[in-house]
Amino acid sequence: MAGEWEGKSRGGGTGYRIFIYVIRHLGVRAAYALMSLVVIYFIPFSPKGTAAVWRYSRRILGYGLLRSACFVYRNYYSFGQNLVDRAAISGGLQGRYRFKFENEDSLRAFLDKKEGCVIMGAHVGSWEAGAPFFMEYGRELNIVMYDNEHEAIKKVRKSNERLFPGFKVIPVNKDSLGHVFLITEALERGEAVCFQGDRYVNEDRLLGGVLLGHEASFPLGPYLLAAKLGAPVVFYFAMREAPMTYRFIFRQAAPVFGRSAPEKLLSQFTSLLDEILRRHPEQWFNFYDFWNLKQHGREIERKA
Amino acid sequence: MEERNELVQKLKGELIDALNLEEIDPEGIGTDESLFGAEGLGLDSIDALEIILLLDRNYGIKIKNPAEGKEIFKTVGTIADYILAHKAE
Repeated sequence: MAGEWEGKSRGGGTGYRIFIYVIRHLGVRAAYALMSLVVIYFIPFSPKGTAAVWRYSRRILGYGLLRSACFVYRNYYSFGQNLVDRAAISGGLQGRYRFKFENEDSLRAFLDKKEGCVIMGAHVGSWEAGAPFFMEYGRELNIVMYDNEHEAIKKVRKSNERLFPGFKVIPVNKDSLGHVFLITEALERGEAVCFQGDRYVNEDRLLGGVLLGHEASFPLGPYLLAAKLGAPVVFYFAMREAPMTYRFIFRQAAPVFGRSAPEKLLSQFTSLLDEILRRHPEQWFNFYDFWNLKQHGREIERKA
Repeated sequence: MEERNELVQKLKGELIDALNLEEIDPEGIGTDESLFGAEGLGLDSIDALEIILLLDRNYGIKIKNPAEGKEIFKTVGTIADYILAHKAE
């Protein structure tokens, strides 16, 4: 349970509203400036998140004390900038941004097939930055979200309908079955279903994998579903490379077969995620004990 | 009625295979026992996916409507009734 995400996403309803207001009235760079101050508040007043970033920096990235202290701020500020960017882009300011593409042609060919497909991302960078690109195809997107994330987004949508235009949300509740039918139906209709392949809420259904050289748990559901339904899978990440510049990284997963198909799919996912995180470690936005380092630390202490 | 009983028994065996319920035998699953939730068999959404695939693969039945799906997946008996109703169509 220690490493399990608690079902709440940082930067929920209130955060979105503030940044939307500043972006609209003062501009994106003013929102960055405000964010550079706001993140200072989060460092002491979000102790669990800060502790998680610290462990990530020290134990996973192997940074020293001073570098880790700087990294904590850098990680929070990077998240803040992504938050500003996703609100600005979704609010129609994408023309002010520069977008670069990796494997764009293969993705275009893939989307043109109009087959149901699974798009798998993670809580790195800003996947919402790619909304204008996906909308270009007029393709229906179904975003699978955990209930608490969905509730926060719904509140914002009430006050700002321009956010997430055209996206359909499939809310996931581990005690309900509805999402399974909605997902299979969307794939049958030839639509894309987007998952975040790094977080889970059901600790009984996990896949073990290795990310950045350390063991971690991943949700079984998305990988099992993609493998069982035989849906083509595209890994997608939108990474911030410079101020107001994003690189969209797409990679079609190799087909997987057999009983270990979900594990094989996860292995492809973590391999690409690993590569991306080594380039952009500050854009890892899981502010909880993802690698269960706290528990592992205790076990090491007990053995010693 | 006999046809339903046969189908119920067959379904129980298929569920045990598909869901890897090795510790349970067909007699251990009540025809009207809840499949999902805290009471009954305690299956979850991953199991629901397996049942969706099973119905498609073995009976050519696709369930798309979530509200309808929840009703159909209540018990082995309700799944059997749905299969029989669709056969009649």
